[in-house]
Amino acid sequence: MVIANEEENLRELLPLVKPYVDEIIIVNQDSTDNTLSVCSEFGAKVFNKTRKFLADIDRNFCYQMATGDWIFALDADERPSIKLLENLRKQTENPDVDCYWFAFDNKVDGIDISDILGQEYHPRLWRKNYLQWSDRAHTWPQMPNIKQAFISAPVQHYRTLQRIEQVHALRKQAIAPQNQMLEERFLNSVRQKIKAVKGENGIQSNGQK
Amino acid sequence: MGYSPTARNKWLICRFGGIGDAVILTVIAKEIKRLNPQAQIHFCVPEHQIGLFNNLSLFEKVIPTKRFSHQQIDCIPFEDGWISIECIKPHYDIVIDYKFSIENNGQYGNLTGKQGTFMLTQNSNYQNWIDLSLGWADIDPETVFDKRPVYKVEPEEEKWAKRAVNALPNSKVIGLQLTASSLTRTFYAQEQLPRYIFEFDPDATIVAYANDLSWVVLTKFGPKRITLEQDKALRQSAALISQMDYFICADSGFAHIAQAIGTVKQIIIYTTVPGWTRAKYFTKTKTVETAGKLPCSPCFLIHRYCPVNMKRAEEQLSDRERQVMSLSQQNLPFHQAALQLNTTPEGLQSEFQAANAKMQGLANIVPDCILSITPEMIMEKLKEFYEEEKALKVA
Repeated sequence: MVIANEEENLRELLPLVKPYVDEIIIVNQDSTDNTLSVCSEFGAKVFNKTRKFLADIDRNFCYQMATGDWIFALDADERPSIKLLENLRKQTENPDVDCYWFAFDNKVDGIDISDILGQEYHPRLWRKNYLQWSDRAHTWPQMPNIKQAFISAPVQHYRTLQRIEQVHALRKQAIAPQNQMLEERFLNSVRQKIKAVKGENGIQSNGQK
Repeated sequence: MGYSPTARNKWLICRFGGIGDAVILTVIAKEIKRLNPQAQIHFCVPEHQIGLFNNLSLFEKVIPTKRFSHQQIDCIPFEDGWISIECIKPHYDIVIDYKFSIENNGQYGNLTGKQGTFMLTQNSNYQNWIDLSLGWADIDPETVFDKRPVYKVEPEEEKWAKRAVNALPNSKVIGLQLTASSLTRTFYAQEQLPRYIFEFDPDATIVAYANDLSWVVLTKFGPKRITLEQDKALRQSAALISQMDYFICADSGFAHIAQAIGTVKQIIIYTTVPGWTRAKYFTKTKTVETAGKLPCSPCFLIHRYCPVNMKRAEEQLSDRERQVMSLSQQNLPFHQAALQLNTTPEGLQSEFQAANAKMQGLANIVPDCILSITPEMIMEKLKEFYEEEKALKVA
């Protein structure tokens, strides 16, 4: 995975996935927290890169560094379900499929946002060299064929509004204006949804009823 | 390069279009089975259509498909979710994937299978869709004698439909369903027809399509709504059609189902696309068409919008709107395009949405071909059917 300052997320994610993979490859974009020591604690191979405020730029490099036949890719804030992890080996043994997309269970501040994003799927498991990622945000990777499958066992993608806002502010210097607008619109929808749900439940802005 | 239907046993046929497109393929399956009784045919159709086919002995398996919108990938269910059809194609002797043929008639697709890949070539010899579909399956349409689709109404469905329609004694049951998926194949004056029909035959029982989940029965005593069940709506609609003596319909899925049922006399509305008509192989059918009467006919375009309307719509745009449309098609970043028009990216986006909506609105104006069809033209055909029946009785 490509990360920057993800100490807390990695403390949860690495022990979760480690039993199911042969190696962990991390491309570290100049983290300033304890990310590197967490990586080393779980035996990850780390490659250092400069801070770019966007993971996409270093994705191809990262996946190229893996030595296995299959790539299982995650971002630091994603949590695959146990069922998904248990089935990983089985999926890689299917000769008919070159790439698997996983369903995403998207929540912000604990609130389901599937009405905003729809049922999302993202490519997260593929034969090495099958995918070619773009260095721009919000684009799909290029794939040579459509020998693909969509897995229902979900990846939990739980974020806080505060974190999304921080990332969005940092990414402004790295992404195109259209994508900035896209992210602004997404953020506005999420803010409205959170406001509406918390209003309905009588929750104050500090999270107390 | 051709291949012989008789030499292949395991077939996969894929069709991801509308109901009518899928129903037509029963003609192809019927012919494959006639040529090769050993053939095993698996048929992939969108989820909501499988009920139409899974009681037919033509198919060993009817497989539901779902399109994943990210990359327009058509998938079938597998134990962990959905798997792309491309993944299962190598397990068949031959695959006919109509996704690559009819709608994309200008493109070439591949037929794949265990024994290699066959390159499809554009075959413009066949304008009729049934012939074209047969041609893509490498079956010479000239050798096929029965080109009617296949459909089976179950006895309990028939019973339900009979009760639902509850026709007046000795009354003719006349169906109306004039909505098709495309603008140019839809007749917009369906509501006017009952008045004409009752003037001609006051005892008629009219069964009119209202929407995906209901039909309305009209008699001289008043209207009654038939509400369909969500899961069975297509089959229930087909069962209602089986109760009709006459079916006045658009060139759409239900028209093909009615033909397959075989007992219904049909009046099908055609506009300026005679080349695509299936009716020439249908029995008990009269057509209402305007072919040859308009300067734009025959029209072989298959787009959802009438090209004449599109041209008119473009002429209605202001210079500014034209600039907005043109810049937005150049794939420039919004902020750069906005600079060229002295506006903000947000302003440009709103202008583009407005101009686009205006184009779409104008393009949806009922085309000349449809406007040229009148209720009188339809009634003329209905009267012919009545006269023919009377003559038969006398004889």
